[in-house]
Amino acid sequence: MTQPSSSKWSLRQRLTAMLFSLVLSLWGLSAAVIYVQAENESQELFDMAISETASLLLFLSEHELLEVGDNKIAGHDYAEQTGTEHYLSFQLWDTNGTLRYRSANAPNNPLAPLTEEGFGWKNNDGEIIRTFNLLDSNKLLRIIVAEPLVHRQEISAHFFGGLFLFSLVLLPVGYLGVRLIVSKAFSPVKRCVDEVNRLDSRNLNQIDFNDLPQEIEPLLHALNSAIKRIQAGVVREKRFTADAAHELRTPLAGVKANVQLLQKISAPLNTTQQEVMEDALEGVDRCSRMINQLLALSKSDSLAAKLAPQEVLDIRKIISDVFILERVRAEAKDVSLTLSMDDSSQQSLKLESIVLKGYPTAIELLIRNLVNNAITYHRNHGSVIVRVQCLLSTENSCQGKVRISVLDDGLGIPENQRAQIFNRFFRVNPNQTRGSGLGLSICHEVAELHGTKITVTDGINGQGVGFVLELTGELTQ
Amino acid sequence: MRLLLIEDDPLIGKATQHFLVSEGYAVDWVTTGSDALLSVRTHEYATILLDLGLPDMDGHEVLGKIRRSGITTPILILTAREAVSDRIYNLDSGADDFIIKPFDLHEVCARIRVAIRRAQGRAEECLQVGAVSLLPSRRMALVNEIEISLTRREYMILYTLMSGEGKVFSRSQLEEALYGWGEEVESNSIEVHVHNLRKKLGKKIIETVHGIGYKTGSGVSE
Repeated sequence: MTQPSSSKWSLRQRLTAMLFSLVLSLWGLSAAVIYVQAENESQELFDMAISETASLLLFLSEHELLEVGDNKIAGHDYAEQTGTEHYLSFQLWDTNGTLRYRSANAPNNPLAPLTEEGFGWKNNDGEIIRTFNLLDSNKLLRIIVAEPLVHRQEISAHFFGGLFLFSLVLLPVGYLGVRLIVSKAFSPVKRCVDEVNRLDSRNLNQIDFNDLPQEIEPLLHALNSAIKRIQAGVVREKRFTADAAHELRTPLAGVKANVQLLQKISAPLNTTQQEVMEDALEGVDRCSRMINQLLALSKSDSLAAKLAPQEVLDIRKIISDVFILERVRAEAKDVSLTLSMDDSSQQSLKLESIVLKGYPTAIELLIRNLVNNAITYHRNHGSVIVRVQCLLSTENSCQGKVRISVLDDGLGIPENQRAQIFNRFFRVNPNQTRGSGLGLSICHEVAELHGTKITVTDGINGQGVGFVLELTGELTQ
Repeated sequence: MRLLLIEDDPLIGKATQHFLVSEGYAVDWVTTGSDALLSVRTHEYATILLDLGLPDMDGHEVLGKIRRSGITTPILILTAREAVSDRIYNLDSGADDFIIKPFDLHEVCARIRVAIRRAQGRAEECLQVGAVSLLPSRRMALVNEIEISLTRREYMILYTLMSGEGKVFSRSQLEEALYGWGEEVESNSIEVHVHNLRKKLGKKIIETVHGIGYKTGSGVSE
């Protein structure tokens, strides 16, 4: 199963990004609106504060002027009196344009033009200040209250800072939330992917889905119908192989029957005639072996074989069946067939305590091909040993391995050819008439079907060749 | 012994028929299922050889029709399909045996002999009447362990009578067992063959049942 390449965009990532930016811009917009609103409100509030202050101060000053009757108002230092720094400054002018009083932080020259009443802005050597100019009801005294803009800015900066800090905390929470929602929305897609991923050549079933979103359902339907078509194809393929075999075998049967008839009705034959007919029959037999092997290969290739359920393998029985089938050929070449059960090799682990699952016919075909090869490509007089060893799995303590080795002391296979022997139609000795070059290739396919491999080793006592197959199974308790 | 060969492929059919005839059997060869069904109704066969791929109907259909009409003649299937499921299906639908193509004709002959033997309920391959023994596997007749040379037709008459175990065969039944379609039967040929057999194996090997036909005798050589 190939993973989607990085150049492909992800719907999930895109959706996350889009949702998150939407959330972000909505939040930003509302923050801006709040900020502007708050700024305006606070401006008004501050203006109100200084106008109130001005009225109060003016009233107090008038009162003092009336009481004291002096031109001079008692000179308390406003700042000194309270001992804290004050952001407001003020000046008290009379109608003659004389500065009667000022706060300690106020300059001598007018904070605002003496003629203009009400609110105003003034640039005081780079420092912008908000002023309020108020004339008393008797038009004798004028008060100017000033507040630097910096003060207002500080306060709004404070407010904005709080907002910013809050959003910093909110940002990751929002992101995680969006991700969570998208993940949740995408979970059926992920389940679909898992389900489809589980499909392979060995497991080609319809995808069964409930609570499917309506966007994905058509896709799954399409997939299911594609699977159905593949399954139909598998069945067709199986039927085709059977038909092809039939078509090939029938003319072959005709040739064989005719040669045998000729052999019978033209008896007695001389040596040459006899040989020619034997050769013809041998050709037919080779052809039919090849058809059998091709059939076996196509069966192990085809998905049809893989659709069948696996069964428990009885290795002992399989090997003894192979021996029964191969005994005659072995005896004809004076090759001994031996089964060696190495049960005791590891902590009394018995073959019966490992449950192997697979396809018995295929495994029998594999072992038979190996044994058959060992006998066929053996010079006369020798031995073929099938060794069965039981081992504990190194990877999983609940599993055991059964190692089946087919060893001979025959001609062997040169080291440099060992890599190629599992290739289709490869033959170690191409000049030899026997052999289709398919036997080992079939063995390889069968091993792959069982998720394992066949390895090539030396044979008996460093002679000949050996083939080793390891099957893994669960241990019985 | 008369055999029915149902095979649509001429290459196989002709050679098989010739081979079996040379083994002494009378062989009727048909190429269609309907011909086969007609044949089994009109003749009595020792064994039927049935190819499954026929042009007009499926071999299994032929098999089923033969069995449903109450004919118990052994049926040997000739098939190119060797899957275990096919084999089981064939045997379960009434076949006695099957041979996978491309078959060996010697093996076909051996299986025919086995089918005939089983149909007659014998376990032993060798047939024995008095001092005369018959070995179908080697197509050989022995009198007191000495091989006697027989012609194809003589052998087949003896085989038919001996495997009948005292059953009486009419002249036409023997002719039926000896001659396939298209083979000319001379009017007194059976009498001639019986005469020759008596000469070779002793008078008592075959008894004449007057007005009916022949059966095996005590077989005691004189």
